[in-house]
Amino acid sequence: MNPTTPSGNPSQSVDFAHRWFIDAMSIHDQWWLLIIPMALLIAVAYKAVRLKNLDRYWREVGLMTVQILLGMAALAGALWLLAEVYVKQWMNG
Amino acid sequence: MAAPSIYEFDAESQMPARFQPLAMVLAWVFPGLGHWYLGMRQRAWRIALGVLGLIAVGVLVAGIDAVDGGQLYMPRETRDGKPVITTSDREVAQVVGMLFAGPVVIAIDQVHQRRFKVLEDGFAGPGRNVPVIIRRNAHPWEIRDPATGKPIAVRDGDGSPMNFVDPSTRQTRLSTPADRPPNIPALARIREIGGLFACLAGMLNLIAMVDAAFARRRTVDPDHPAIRAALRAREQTSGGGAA
Repeated sequence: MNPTTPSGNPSQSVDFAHRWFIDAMSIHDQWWLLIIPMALLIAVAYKAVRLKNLDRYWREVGLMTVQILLGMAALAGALWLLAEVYVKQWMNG
Repeated sequence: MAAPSIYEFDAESQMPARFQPLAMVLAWVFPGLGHWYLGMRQRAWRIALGVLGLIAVGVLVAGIDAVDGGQLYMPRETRDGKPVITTSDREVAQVVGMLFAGPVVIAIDQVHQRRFKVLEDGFAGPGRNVPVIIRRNAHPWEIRDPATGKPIAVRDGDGSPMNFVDPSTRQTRLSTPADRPPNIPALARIREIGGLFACLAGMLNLIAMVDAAFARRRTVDPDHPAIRAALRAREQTSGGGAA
């Protein structure tokens, strides 16, 4: 059963105080920033398993974080170009 | 320079490739525990930081609704002679992914199911003629009766307060903003992102479980009791062989 609200959403007209770790955060405009902690925490766990020795651990974590962020940015750019150039041209005939 | 590990000592005897089922199970029980058991303590706390961090951020962003296993592994339960059906909006594959993060996720889910969801009378079955109790997220216009778990509507369709029977005092009164649902579930992207974080945590812990099960040559703490015992046993074995 979906908890999404019907039209005339009461959750929007009633200003409930936020409770951390219980209620969802209202960050619908900044959601894309969550890729930073996601990339960082993936790198923290993955490099702990992957590296043969941990001497350069944090440097490797930083490098992987940047690689993920740049990779995702490049993918986003490529998809934007595809939509803007190819798909729009195709739609315009 | 770091001390050589038991695995480096035992590389020739192929001990590194030996399957370590206990380490694998421990890695599931708590992220990093499998590596801790093998003496890889530096790795252990880093794995725990990454996996638990992902779960924490997921729950922080999407609320406790980030983890919602629904009926997937809930025990069979009846109330008032009716079966309880637990509903969830999460994809089964996403929930299965989360479960690799172990009992931490299961505990969060159980708290979500039993303390935050409401129990409503309903019907199920092909003809919708089988009476059941549906466990679902509370709507924003409902509160949860702490004694019975049943939903109580406290607002009307446009969010205006309405009269209801207060479950704690049994008195009828007009609702206030303090009368609120147990939790505000996430919607749209935030909901997906919360589930994604928890699922990623499970997937990374699966990698850690496999890594703990098939420990390779690594630099580990030679002072760990298990490592010391293994070293002693190896020395005795090689000593006996020489004699």
